[in-house]
Amino acid sequence: MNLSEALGRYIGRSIEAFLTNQFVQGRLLSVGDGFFTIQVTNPTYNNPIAQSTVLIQNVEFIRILAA
Amino acid sequence: MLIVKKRLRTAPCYAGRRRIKRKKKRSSLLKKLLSFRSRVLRYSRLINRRIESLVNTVNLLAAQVNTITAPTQGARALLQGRMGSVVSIETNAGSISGTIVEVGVDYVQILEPTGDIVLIPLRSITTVE
Repeated sequence: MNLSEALGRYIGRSIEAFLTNQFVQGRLLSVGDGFFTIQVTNPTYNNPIAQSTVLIQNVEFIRILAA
Repeated sequence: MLIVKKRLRTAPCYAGRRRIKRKKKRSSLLKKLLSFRSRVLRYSRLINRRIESLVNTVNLLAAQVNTITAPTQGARALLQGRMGSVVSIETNAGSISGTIVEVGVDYVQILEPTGDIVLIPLRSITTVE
């Protein structure tokens, strides 16, 4: 099983994705081949983006918050 | 009596014609068998050549996959040996401490004391304590 398949088990859960110089938090919406999409929970004024697609190759690690 | 004689005369000729026909059937059947056999041999040679080329392609692909996965295979073996134990894994984005729950092809799954699950790509790991 690879990382995409393992992450697919947690669709709908709240996750934190740590990139090299960035942090994205939200609800996992979908997982594709090499990327996943998050419903961002705390969009900022500068980045009022509701959904963010993150490339797995840029991810340092992903934390799935306990329900 | 005349009629009987006439029948006797015609009988051998008719039998002779039958024999000729049987000879023709045997030779044509043998030819067909031989041509079928040669076709089967030709197709089997073609199939064998195709199989050889496919085997070579598969070996090349396997070698390419090994070169791609080789850097993480050592880390994977190391983490699999520590399955169930508490480790501290360093990455460029921070440190994660917890119990190794699962080791996949290119990731490791850690259960933190808080109950959170962390998925770490093997390429992101810098140190394991």
